[in-house]
Amino acid sequence: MVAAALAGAVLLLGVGNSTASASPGSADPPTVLPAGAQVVHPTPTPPDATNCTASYPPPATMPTPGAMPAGSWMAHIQARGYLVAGVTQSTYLWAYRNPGTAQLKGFDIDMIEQVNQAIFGADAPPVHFVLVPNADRSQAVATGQVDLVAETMTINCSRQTKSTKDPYPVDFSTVYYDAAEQLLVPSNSKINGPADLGHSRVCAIGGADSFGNLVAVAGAGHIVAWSDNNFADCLLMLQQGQVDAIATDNAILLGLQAQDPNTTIVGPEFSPEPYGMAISQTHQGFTAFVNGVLANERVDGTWEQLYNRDLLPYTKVPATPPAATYKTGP
Amino acid sequence: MGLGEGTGQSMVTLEHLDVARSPVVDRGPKVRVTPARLRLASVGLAVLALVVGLVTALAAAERHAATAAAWQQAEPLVVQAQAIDTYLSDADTTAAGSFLQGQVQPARLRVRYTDDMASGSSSLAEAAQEAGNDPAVASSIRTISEDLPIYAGLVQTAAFNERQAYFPLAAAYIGEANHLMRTRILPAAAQLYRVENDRLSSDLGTADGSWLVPLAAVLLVVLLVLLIVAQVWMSRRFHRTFNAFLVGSTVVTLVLGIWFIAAVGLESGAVSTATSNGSSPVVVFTQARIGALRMTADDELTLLTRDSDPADQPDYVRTVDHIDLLLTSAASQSAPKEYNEIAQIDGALAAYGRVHRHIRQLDGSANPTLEQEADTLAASQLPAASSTLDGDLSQAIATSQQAFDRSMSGAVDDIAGLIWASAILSVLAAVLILVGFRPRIAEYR
Repeated sequence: MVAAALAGAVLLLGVGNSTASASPGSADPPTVLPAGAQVVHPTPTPPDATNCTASYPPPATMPTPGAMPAGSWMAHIQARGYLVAGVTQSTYLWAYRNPGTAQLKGFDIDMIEQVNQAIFGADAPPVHFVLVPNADRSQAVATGQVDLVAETMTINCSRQTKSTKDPYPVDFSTVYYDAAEQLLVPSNSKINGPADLGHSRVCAIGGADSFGNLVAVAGAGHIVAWSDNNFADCLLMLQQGQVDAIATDNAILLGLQAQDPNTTIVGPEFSPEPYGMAISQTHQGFTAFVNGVLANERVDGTWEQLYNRDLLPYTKVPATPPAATYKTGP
Repeated sequence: MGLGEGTGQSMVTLEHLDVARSPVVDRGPKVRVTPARLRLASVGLAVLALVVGLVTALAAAERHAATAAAWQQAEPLVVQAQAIDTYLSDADTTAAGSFLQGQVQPARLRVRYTDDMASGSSSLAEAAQEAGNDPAVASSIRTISEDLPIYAGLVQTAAFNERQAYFPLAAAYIGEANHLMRTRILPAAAQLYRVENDRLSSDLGTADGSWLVPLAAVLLVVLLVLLIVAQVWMSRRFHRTFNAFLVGSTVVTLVLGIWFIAAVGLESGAVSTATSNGSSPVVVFTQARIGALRMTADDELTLLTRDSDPADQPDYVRTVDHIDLLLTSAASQSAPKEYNEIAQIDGALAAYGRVHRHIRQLDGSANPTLEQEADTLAASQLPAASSTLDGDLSQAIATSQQAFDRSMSGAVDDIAGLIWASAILSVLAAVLILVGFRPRIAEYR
């Protein structure tokens, strides 16, 4: 009764936000936005070369869980008693939390758990998860706040070298998931790709390269870019009719679409986004170790098992683990 | 005069006889007193007495009206504005808290949220009706009326998504709802409250500062002085030291004067007590109560949206500091019997602080086992600590409200008596003056 009326009210508001009211008594309907939502003016970023996905080759033999080589960062973690990992808690399917249980779930979490078990064994102590905002992922790793970050983070060249844009360079593991940027739109939208965007309003989150990649694509130069604190806020704005599309990795869009069946992922993949775990550049041995964990996953079917559990119900197509490329030489 | 052509001697004798029979005692300068002048004095003094009565009655009536208006109109509007602010703050806190419990909100929290929204909406409707077209509050009422349904819709959507296990999306909606409440609705409610409170203060001030009161005082003094002067003059003139009626009239005027001073003084004192023991503590305790609700919401939201909104804990710190300030100022102002209540509130606040610190310690450890403990603690102990604090604060508000009502009712009674007294005593004084002068006037016939 009351609930239906109020739900009806929110639907009306969702649709009617952009249409002016004709009745004389009403003032401008208030625009309700998530905290931190703001319009930004992105500059196009040149597409990143994909030849920066090469990482350190894994050790010839992986150490036994519980017996890490002396002097290695893994031994340090083992001595500490737990692994510290940087994650988010708002990306559905990748890292999200049921408030009642405080347990994090998702594919990124699973990747971290694999590393945890490789260090400590099957009875590994729980990982200490630190919630790191998207914009601070590199900083958290480089300053030692966390041992590694697995947060739908794209491997690119600029993040690995120090610059004014990236003051905290990091190393990456090999690719553990091949994503690509696409758009999420309402199912009845006429937008089929970046070329159709015109003057549309597009949402992404601060700290991501989504906008830079998008405006670099021809035809997407006039978008109104909304930046939010997290992707769930973007989906909220899409549902409230305040943006027309969400631009980010299709891996993340998958999680958003799972929360709203009335949306579709559209468009050509306009920017490849290989995911890797970020690790400090002073812990190359640890990076090699993590690559060893990933190599084992690829071979013994663990990767596929985790994919089938977490992502297959939504992608509906099976997948094989992405191939690894290794650096040659020092 | 003449008994004929007598000698000068006989004329002198007759004149002496005339002089001996005349009642004028030739002690001072010779003043010709005619009945007309006596009548003038008599009527003048009587009219002055009536004017004094009128002015005093008017002064009393004005103070009565202002005090009654403050008590029966302005103050209820303040209470209503407080109610709106409090109900909506509690709704926000409850909404945030109910999402910490997991996928399905507990029934008791859902009921509390619905009750708060209903009470807040109906208080708003009453405020809109009573405040009428007052422009100072119109925009606040309009903002709250427009935004409250949107807020309710957002909370509803969050609840729906939560049930579907779309936790990130649910958290996004509850975050947006809280943002709307804090940036638009609650500030409008606070504005409404401020306007009504200022109005109450100015009404209570009007009860104090009218020009009729000093005028009445001046006229009373003038009447008293003139009456005494008249009696002194009469006792010199007419060989009678006391004129009973005029003395009576003077006494009545004196009584009126004393009653006037006493009533105005008592009423002033009662209004001042009503403010210091009543409406001022109510303001302080209400703000503290709203702060306590906000504090709890901050803690709940911190746990719910751990990475999205770093503003919640700094807001908690600011809010707690603000509450401390309020309670300190309440303690320094209030009547001794309220100190017990303040001590109890301090205790409840300290107990909440302990639960808060424990939760923060667990939550900030990044250890998932401890974080889970933090969530469990938040679900069990935080609501209890919060509601004890809320209960103590609302008890203090109720006590102060009762003190306000008692004092104001006394004030109104004090001043109401004066209205009747002025009328009756001034008429009595006028009558006594007229009666007192009558014999003197009659002696001229």
